[in-house]
Amino acid sequence: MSAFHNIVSRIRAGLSNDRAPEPRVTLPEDAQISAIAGRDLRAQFIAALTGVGGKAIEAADETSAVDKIAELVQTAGLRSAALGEGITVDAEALAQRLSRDGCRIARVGNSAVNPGDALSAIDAGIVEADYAIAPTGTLVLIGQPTRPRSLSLLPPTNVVLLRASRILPELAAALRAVGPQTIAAHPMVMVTGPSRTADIEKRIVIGVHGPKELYVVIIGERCCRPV
Amino acid sequence: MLPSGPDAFYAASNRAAADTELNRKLENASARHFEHLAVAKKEFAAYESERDVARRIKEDSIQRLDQLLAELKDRLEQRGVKVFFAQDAAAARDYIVKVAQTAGVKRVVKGKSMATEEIALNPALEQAGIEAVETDLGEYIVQLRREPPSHIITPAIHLSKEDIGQLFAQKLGVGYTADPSALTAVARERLRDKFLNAEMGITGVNFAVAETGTLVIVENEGNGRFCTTTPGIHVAVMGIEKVIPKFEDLSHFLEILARTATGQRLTAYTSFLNGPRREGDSDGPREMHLVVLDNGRTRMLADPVLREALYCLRCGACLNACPVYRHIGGHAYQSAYPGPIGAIVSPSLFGTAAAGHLPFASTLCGACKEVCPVRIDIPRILLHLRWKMTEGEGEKVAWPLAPARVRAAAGLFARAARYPALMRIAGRMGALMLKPFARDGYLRRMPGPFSAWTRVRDFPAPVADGVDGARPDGGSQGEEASRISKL
Ligand code: SF4
Repeated sequence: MSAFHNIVSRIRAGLSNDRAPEPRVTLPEDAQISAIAGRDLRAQFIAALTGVGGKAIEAADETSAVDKIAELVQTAGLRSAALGEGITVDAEALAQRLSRDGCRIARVGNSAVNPGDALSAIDAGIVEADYAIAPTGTLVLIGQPTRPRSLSLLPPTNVVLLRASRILPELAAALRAVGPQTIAAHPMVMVTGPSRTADIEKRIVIGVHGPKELYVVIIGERCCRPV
Repeated sequence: MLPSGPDAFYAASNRAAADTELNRKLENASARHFEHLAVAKKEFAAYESERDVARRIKEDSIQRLDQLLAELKDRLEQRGVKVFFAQDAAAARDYIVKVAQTAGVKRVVKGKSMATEEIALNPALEQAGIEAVETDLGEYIVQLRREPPSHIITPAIHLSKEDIGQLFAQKLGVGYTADPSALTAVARERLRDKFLNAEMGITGVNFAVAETGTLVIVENEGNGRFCTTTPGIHVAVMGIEKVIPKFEDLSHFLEILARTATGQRLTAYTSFLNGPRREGDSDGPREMHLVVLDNGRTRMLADPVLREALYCLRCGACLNACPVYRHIGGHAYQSAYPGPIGAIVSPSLFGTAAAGHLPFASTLCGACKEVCPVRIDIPRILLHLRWKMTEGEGEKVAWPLAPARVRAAAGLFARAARYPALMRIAGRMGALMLKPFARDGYLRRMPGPFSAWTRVRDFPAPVADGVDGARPDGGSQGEEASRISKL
């Protein structure tokens, strides 16, 4: 018998005396935490993000988002940035604008480029979030071939584009929005603020292994209805 | 580090209890933890109901653990993950070392994983000539000291920032600083290079979702993401109890785990992984393994009282809540899992001869149960294990728990206790007799056979009506944190 079968049969034997005939758990209706009704999700998200050390930048539309990113690149002194494919703003226009301002641009997101090499000396990674969770200030990034995971991990600064309509009222809503099919097919990461630790005397220090700076460019005015 | 019997524990805990500096550090860290937890609970109205839901999901998961493990295995194998079931620590170690050797791995980067501490993986890798680098800051610090972690969430909780400053100056050749930010920056720089030049990453797993075949890893630093992204091979190690049925179940755990562990709403990073990199992906490991560990867990499951211990999320809160842990620290337990949760799981994981004494190292004050996010009744399990090891069937502790005369005295007490009037008289007489030995309201040293008791304990001196020094009854749930930190 394989170890798997051994372990499973030990589990069966161990439960045999008192296994419930049917699964015992049915979750109560109110198990899902109710969304904070009427709250402005965008304001709530920004407050939570700021609370964990992230910075919010508001932009009315895509064009304005490009301007704001260009501004950020100047003020933060970012000399190089990497862009994935398939982002909501015009990647071509953004790349041109940033290079014109003297910021070196690396386009990643095709398997020909090894992101580890391409990204190790880059100042900023620019990615887009699929969803955000308002009360926790969390960004949900679903992995895709055109969006290497390292893009939001290796560069010391992480710039995340987020459509305001993608901000959801709670964690459970985000998991429902992603859904079991997607999670079975894609890797995903939820990002709540820049990398941090409290391993030395429980004092919070920002920027351990992941990004030290997290900027979220929120595009558009309106927020969505809960999913 | 693995437990090695009661004598070693007795010596180590005595030494640690006398270390007032250690006690100060642990009290500080614990006070901070409960401050943060109190804030997190206050602002999250659903905290209590989420605890109940999370517990019920765990009950359900363990009830059909066999099916869930089979489902998880199938899903992951479909996507090319090699799933290995290990009956004991040696099988798990051998498998991982073999995977590393086959692929010619020279260096492994490790995310924080208590399961790999449990199976003593690092020494095995080192013996095979493979460098194993701990990358969680706390783990990195204790590894530099060639020490095991002393807490399951805060591995270097026993060290001050000055201790760490000296360590870095000595081992890493940097100038001395006790500034946590500067120290963290040093670790960032040193470890970045290791991440980009390691062929294998090894991590633990916080939750495994059967329905979707998803491994969930919760962390703050980003080292877990590195270990699962940049090296060519990722090996995840988890106990059989980590599997839960559905993807949507996760929200109930994630909402309470970080809040309880660190007072955060969510940790900085929650990674969801489902297999090696696919066609067209530009990063992620090319090879992925999951090691599923029994190592005594099915023994725990077979005992209906102890089974509950398998619901544990390894949040570490019960350690901080425990007055014994706060006095002796993690190392004294000599187990990968110290504190209250360690006391109930270690005997099953490491054997009764090595760890059967740990359930006795508790005051049964109940603070662990109050703080536990999935409401594990740790005091009940401690009593159950004590009973099992002294009176129960099967394996008993191999050392005398109490000399014959103490057992005789206890027997006498049990008989007398049936008569309240007798008890009252005996109580008054006892108080009178003990009076001459009291100093400042405490009995610190007793003569003759009684010295065995006072050697390790100070008793409040009894008062004439028999009851004193009882723990004042605590307040409501809301005051729990402040009370715990004062205990
Ligand atoms: S027993 Fe409960 S409090 Fe202790 S580590 Fe496990 S989940 Fe946390």
